[in-house]
Amino acid sequence: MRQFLKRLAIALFPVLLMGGFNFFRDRAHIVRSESFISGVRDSMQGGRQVAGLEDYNERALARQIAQQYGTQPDVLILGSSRSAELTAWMCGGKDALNLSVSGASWQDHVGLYMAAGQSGKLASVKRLYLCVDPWLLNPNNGEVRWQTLNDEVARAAHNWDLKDYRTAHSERQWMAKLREMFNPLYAWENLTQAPVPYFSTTDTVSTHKLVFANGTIRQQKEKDARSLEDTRERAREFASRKDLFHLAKFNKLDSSGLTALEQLAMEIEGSGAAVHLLLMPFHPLVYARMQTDRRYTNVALSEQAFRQMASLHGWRIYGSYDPVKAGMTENDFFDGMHLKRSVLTRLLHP
Amino acid sequence: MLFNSIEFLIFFPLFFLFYWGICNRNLTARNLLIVVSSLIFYGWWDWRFLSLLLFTALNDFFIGLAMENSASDRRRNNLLTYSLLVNLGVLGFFKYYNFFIDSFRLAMASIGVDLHLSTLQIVLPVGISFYTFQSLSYTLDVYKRDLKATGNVIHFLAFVSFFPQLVAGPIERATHLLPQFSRLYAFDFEKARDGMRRILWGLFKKVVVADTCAGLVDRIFSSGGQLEGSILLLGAVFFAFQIYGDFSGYSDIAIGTAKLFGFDLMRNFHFPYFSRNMAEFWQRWHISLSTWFRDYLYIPLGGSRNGRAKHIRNVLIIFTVSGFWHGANWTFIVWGLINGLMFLPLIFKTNKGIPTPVAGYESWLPSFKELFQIGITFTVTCLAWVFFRANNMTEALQYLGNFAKGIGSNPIAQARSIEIGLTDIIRSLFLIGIVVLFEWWNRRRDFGFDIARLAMPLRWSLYLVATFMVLYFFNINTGRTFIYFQF
Repeated sequence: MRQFLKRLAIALFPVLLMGGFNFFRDRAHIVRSESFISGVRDSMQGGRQVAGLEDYNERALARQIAQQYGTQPDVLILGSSRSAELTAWMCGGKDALNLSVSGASWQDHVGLYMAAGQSGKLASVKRLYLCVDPWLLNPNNGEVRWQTLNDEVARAAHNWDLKDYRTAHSERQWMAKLREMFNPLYAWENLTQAPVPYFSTTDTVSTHKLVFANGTIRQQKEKDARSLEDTRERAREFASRKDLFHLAKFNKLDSSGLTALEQLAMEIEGSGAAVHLLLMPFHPLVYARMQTDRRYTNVALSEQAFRQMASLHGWRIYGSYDPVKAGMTENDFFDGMHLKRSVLTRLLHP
Repeated sequence: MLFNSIEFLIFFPLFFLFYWGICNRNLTARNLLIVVSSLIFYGWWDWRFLSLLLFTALNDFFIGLAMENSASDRRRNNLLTYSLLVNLGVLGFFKYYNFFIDSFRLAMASIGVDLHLSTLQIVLPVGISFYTFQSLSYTLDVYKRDLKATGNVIHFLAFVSFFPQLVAGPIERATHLLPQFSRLYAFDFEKARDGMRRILWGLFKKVVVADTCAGLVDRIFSSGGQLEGSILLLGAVFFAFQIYGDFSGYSDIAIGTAKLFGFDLMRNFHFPYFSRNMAEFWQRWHISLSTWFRDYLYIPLGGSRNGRAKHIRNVLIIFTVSGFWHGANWTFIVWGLINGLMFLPLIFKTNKGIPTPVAGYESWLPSFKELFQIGITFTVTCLAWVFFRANNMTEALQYLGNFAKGIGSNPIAQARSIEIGLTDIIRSLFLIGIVVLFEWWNRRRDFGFDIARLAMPLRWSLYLVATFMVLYFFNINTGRTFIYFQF
């Protein structure tokens, strides 16, 4: 037995070494996510912005912002990176809490809404801006990052009787973390790429991406100034990918997602807030692919479903996935699916 | 609980610790640990079905005792009939109820009778076909007086629920496995080392090969109606290795895990794709099931003893039943029937064409004749796999029809149309190639990664490469369950 265990230990040594290396290096803050996020949050004290954040758990930060935001906002923004640059004045308010996270799924919207509500941050909200991306209704969008908000989503599922939400919950989070620790690819990244340190600043425009204390993001200033050719090239590359972002296997509309979003909006409307739905447009080259590739026919059907929902409840709806309908041209984008900050106001006030 | 899951990674060392550290000095304590751990292993999936497992096992335990204590043949016959009815009744209800209702309704509709029979929302308990057959083998062996009934319920429960092979086999015989629960084992270094090698090889076949092929197979089969020609053949080949890697991988992990605790499970696969005809294939593929049907169905039916006509009938019966065992779908029945039909010509041959135990027995490479035979057998097997993989008969026939229609078309262009790149194909073929090479190299041995004879540096390098490949692909191909769990 001793001989066997000795040999087993020798055999497992390189694996454990890799695990240990990944654990301590952890450039994406997978293991010590919560303490890292608390550090970031602390750096925002005094209304400062944080710059240089990369590879972090956006959901965990958004939740902390939702729970610890210092004032009572009158605008709540829930969305993806496509709505992350929205500010209070763009939305006609005084103080906005922007809980947009990259690649947001409906569970993210629901989870962050619950987190903000539980912390009493919704008491003064007069307007909800809900960015409804097409992948919210793709049951196969492959997005699992929302599992950070699992407790909040579970609470909403219980309150609103959402039966199917667990179908997307394929793996417990700690297991995913453990798996990642023994991922040779992560070891390679840890070995070849240094972690980028973040810092706090009072700048409101920077060469770095800035995260504000209310959750709003200000992209690098280079993005707003990006040339038409550069943007077109990026959009072309984006549109030619094997699967468009989060839209692979979009073979049916996720009715539980639609129900959850409707419940969320109805609940906040019930407490006196006006609901606004945002349909962020795609770059014309990307939208052209969505129109010609039959695998993406559900994108148009998603827009239709959101429009029907808005019409049914009398909610205001802005924009369209179709850039022409949204009144946008190639000049208004900085890549395949993100509008420049300078044109966001135009989308909300056409 | 899946073997390729983090849960198992935690469960397994804990079991190892308790087994060798605390419980192995006392037989009852050890077997009790096996039973409790096996129930946790099974209940992790759905604890509600533990009662079904326990019901099946306890039912057969008491029937075995009653048979043992009965001198009357008539009473023994009645007890066996009762055991068959209970076991096959449970299996039939959970697995086949809806199939029979649907088939009956369709048959009546075809003669103009419209019946309104409703099907039930039944969840198929994982591994039900495996543990039912294993438990049934006990009552059959006691009935045949090949085995003395055990009076120890803990031993018997450990035999039926033994977690390494509980949900996907090998389907053990009571005569082979049950006596092993009546002995205490000292830790055997050689056996444990062999077990670890098997586990590593099983994980490699499952996580690296089967799960990589699975992505391509899913795309090709789901687009089968729009594709033509050789890409469909490629899809069938990928599926052949997906199911082989998946199922034989599971068996290797099960056998290896059992070895770590001193138990010997029967071999379930023996390089089936090197078979030179269908008879040899079925001696090498899912051996525990084919021998189960041979011993408990084919031989009682008369086997090959009562003339050629009955021999043909018996062969077709066991292949059809074997197909049906896999699932309540006509595709499985047709798959079984095709294998049976491909087997029939061998009945008429006096020379079975396989003079040596394995192809290339006395040389490095197979002879041209053997290569031809292996190629033909593999092709036939792949075509039959189309029925096994397809969701229904229409899909299977369309798949084969489209294959024949566009035989000369460019597979790469076809693959691109469903967004499979050349690199995806090359990567999968490369991984398949690794398995084929290792298995060919070890074809005269017990399993494909039997590398004990290699020099230590080379051996350890191979362990390391295989381990890191498993870890790498484990992170890419996450969350894929074993195909045979559904049976």
